[in-house]
Amino acid sequence: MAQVEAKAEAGHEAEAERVHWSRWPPMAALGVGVFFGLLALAFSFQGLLLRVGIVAGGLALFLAGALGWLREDIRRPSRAVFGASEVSQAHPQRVSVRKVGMWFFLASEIAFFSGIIGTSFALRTRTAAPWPHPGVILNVPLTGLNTFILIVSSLTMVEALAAIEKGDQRRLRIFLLATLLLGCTFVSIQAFEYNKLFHEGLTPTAAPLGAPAVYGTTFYIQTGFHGAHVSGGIVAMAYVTLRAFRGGFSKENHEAVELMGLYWHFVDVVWIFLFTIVYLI
Amino acid sequence: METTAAAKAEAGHGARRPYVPVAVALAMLTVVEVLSPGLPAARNIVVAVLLALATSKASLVVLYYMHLRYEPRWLSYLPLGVMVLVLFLVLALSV
Repeated sequence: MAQVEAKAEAGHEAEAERVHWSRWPPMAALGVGVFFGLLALAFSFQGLLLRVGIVAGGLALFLAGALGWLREDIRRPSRAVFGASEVSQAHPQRVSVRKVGMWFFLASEIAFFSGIIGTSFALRTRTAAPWPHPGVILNVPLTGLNTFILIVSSLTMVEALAAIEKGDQRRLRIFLLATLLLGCTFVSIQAFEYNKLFHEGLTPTAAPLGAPAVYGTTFYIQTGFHGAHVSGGIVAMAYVTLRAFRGGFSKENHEAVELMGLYWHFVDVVWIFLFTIVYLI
Repeated sequence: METTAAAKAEAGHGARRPYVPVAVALAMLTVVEVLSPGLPAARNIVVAVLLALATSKASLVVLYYMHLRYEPRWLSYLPLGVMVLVLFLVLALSV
């Protein structure tokens, strides 16, 4: 009996060992090394084909490693945690490494958007021509409605997570699908607005009604990068929703829904500031 | 203190979190935002009010929807740490 238990334990250890050993991370690291290392050297080689080939080879190796890693990681729930061991139920200190990774990514995104918003603000304060008053060029009521749509999509996203935390598959699917559709609506309204503004003369290099041209530049840079983030989120949301409809999540295994939500809410937070800074101030 | 922490952990697992009230608050604050440029007040005051409203809305989303209120405190040092860098960036850009 004891022998059987020992054997089972050894099996578990072997399983843990297998889970921890992966060829993908070193492959991705090697790819990055080859890419950047040879990017620096590439220009000393003769022949365009050789240069492009070397750099593209490194990039391909990195992409293969990163995608392989992602594919392997996405298939099983992670038990890896970060932080001090649990002190007590009342003071949880541990957070899953995936969530910490997502927060690191979001922290870098805060820096990214702050750079864009800060630069736009600096351009505005340095422009001699007067900045147009709110609502003169941009459609504030329509964008207010779009803001409302994004807020509702954040609510449906968090309700999807709450549903799967209780193991409710039906509500998970309904709320994920609603979030996906609301996200598509947001981007569609933005595309409609872009089209209208272009016809009225607001382009990345020009602005109508005597407004400085940089007004158009900062408008499209800020809302464009945000729109690209929402569009990327929609692609990821479509994947998560598809997986939910195939029964890919459970009460115990649904971290992807939570991480997807973190990204989605972050994009909402960025829009909250952009709406104020670009449309109302 | 002990009971608050325990209540927090409890709210994190069992009790229903206030998702709908937060959404209602966000929607109401948005309506106030859309109306506030028309207020008969000095422009500087309107801008200050608008930025305060945006910060309140963002805080609500981060605390309740992104669950930072229910996570260990050290996790919030990550975005807060970047905010310090951002402050330097904004100061440098406005010189």
